Amino acid sequence: MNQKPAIVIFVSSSAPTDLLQPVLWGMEEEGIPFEIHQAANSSIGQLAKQAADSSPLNVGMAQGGDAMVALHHRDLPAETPLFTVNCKNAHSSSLRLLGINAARLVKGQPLAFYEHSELNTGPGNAPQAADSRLEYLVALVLDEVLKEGYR
Amino acid sequence: MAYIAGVDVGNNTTEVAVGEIRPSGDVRFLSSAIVRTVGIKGTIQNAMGVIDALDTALQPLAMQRRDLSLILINEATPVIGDVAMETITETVITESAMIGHNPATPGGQGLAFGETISFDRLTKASPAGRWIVVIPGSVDFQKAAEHLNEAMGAGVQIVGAIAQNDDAVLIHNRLLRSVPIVDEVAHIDRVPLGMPAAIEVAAPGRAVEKLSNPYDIATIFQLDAEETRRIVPIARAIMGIRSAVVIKTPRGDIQERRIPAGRLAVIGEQQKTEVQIDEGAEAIMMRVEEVSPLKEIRGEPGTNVGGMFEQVRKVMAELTDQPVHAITVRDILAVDTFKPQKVLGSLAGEYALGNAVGLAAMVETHKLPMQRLARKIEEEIHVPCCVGGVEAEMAIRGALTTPGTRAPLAILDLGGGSTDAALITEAGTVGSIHLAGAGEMVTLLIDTELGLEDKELSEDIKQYPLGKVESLFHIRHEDGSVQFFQKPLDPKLFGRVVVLTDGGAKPINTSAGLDKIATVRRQAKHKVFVHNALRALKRVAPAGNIRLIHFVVLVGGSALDFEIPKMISDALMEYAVVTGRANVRGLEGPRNAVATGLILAHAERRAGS
Repeated sequence: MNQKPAIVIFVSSSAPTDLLQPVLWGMEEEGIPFEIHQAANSSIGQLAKQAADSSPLNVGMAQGGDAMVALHHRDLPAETPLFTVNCKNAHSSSLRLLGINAARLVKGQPLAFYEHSELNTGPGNAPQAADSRLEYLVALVLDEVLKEGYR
Repeated sequence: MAYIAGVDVGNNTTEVAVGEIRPSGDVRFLSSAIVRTVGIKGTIQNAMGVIDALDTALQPLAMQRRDLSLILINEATPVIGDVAMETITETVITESAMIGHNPATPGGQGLAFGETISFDRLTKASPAGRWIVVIPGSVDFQKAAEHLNEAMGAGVQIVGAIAQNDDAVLIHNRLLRSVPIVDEVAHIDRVPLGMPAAIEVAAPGRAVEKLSNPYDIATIFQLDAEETRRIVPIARAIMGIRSAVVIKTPRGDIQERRIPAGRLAVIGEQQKTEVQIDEGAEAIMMRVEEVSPLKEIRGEPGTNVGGMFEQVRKVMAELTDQPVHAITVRDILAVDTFKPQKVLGSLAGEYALGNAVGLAAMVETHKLPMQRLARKIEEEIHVPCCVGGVEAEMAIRGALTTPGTRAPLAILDLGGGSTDAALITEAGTVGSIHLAGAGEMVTLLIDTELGLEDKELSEDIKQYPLGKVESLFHIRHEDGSVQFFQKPLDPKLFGRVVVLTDGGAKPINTSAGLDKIATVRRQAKHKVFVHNALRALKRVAPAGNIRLIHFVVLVGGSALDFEIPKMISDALMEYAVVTGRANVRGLEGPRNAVATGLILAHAERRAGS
């Protein structure tokens, strides 16, 4: 049914579409096209799996009537979508992240996770290195203190 | 008939062999075991590990400890090594002047030159200027695009943008006219405003061309020769990445600073000399070679290396109950390396490669208190226990049980802290040497060059092959082969380079690709092990000529490494030496040489007496 390379998104008829917007921005930023189709109400996992199956890129998403959004891959079993996010509770940045990850799944690039996402820069993951340097120093100090304590 | 156990307490592992000595003097080996060493080698804490290893070896034989008539432990040569890194250059930027970083998804394409302007002041911008807009994270991309379009419509020349959020593509897609945009600039507040700036975004798959070339930067900013010389570190830091910003500030300065790294005093038996560490590894090793045989090497107090020297001597002094001044550093190995360092004054956590020298030191004394350990074991399990022989000799004896070998044979023991070699001549005399630099040095080099600051991960990278998680269900190994999995892999591993440890795949969180990591690993091993193998063999070889050694066998843990034996074999090819991993008793591989040698030597002594 679908020949253009795109991530396929099935939106069940009762779902509020505007909630999905940040997800779409995530995919756009990563430069991967997507297509949105209306679909009958069904379980979110099933729906997302169907979307993935019909995508030439093997990646699909679905939004159910209950504001849940799921990310699925053709190779995964239907009952275990890769990620599921509740649009209502989620911050828009974590929805954007879901879109980014859908695109990265297509591109074969490392997925982004919330704790690092805002700080994802530079060669060698700069901010993490800074954090771990601090941790390392703390560990060093602790080590020294403990050593002294035992002697 | 007597049952005898040979015990080799090493830095990392304790190995045991159990043999039966017939009245004729023939030895039949029954069993062997290997466990992790408990405590520092040569201390009485080792006893626990020894007893554990004995039990493990005795169990399949259905024997009790008391069935043993004698336990022999090795007279270990006490050698400890340690490593340190001395940085010699670093890049300092006073008043931030560059953003050379690699956001995953910059917007637009091409090179732009203009003046930086804050997003808020865009409405007041002169139509005569060319502007590079600085967009803080508080501005939503839709609003950003809207305002940029308005300004463009009003005739303001916008040539590029620098954004804090990851939304360069989103902004770019909504612009009336395409301009290059660099995003994910963490410290956007540090970007100087009203300054001439250049911005470049390369096509996907390409790297920045102009801003990585000092002369192109000079052309853009009309720099004189002296200024051009100073921006070289910036151009170098930008090489190979997809997008970059360079800003010229009036007082901005970039320096590649040399850090005083201190001196080494190299004292030989006949002469002595001094060498500056920042002259580099080659100069240091040349001096060491000139002065050798070495008596002592002293590091300058107050430097990393000086501190490391003190530490090793202190540990050895405590271990052997000797005063610190009686312990001297006997050998060093220096290796040139690179250290990615955060550029001081950077805007987006940029890194520049600084030069560094890695140094391994080795201290050696005469005798470890192994006698104490023997007494302790005897007390614990009531079996006679004695110190059986010098480690190097025992190792050679054990190694000679490798099928297809005969004297003159040399063994290479590539350990954690030191590289040891021993040679047995046709006449049966044994000579041995310990050199600084081994596995720990390799770990340090990997850790430093990849900027990981995670010793455990670096250790894993040293030991295990790499792979890339290409889909949720398959990994491509570094040799190109593909492995599929029944169950989906952890999404955190997806798309990442992983090290395939026995405990499963571990992600390596660095932007370096698989090839780069593998290259760093191989070079680290080459710089340390191949260099040291040649150095060690030259020292033990008759007349210092490696060609006169016919057989070289590798023993110890590093001999089990998946690539070191091949590297050493390649290096020794030109000397026409048969090189390979030992196969002690045709059974044990590179393990158990010393334990086996202890039993053989004992049997010989008994037959002789």
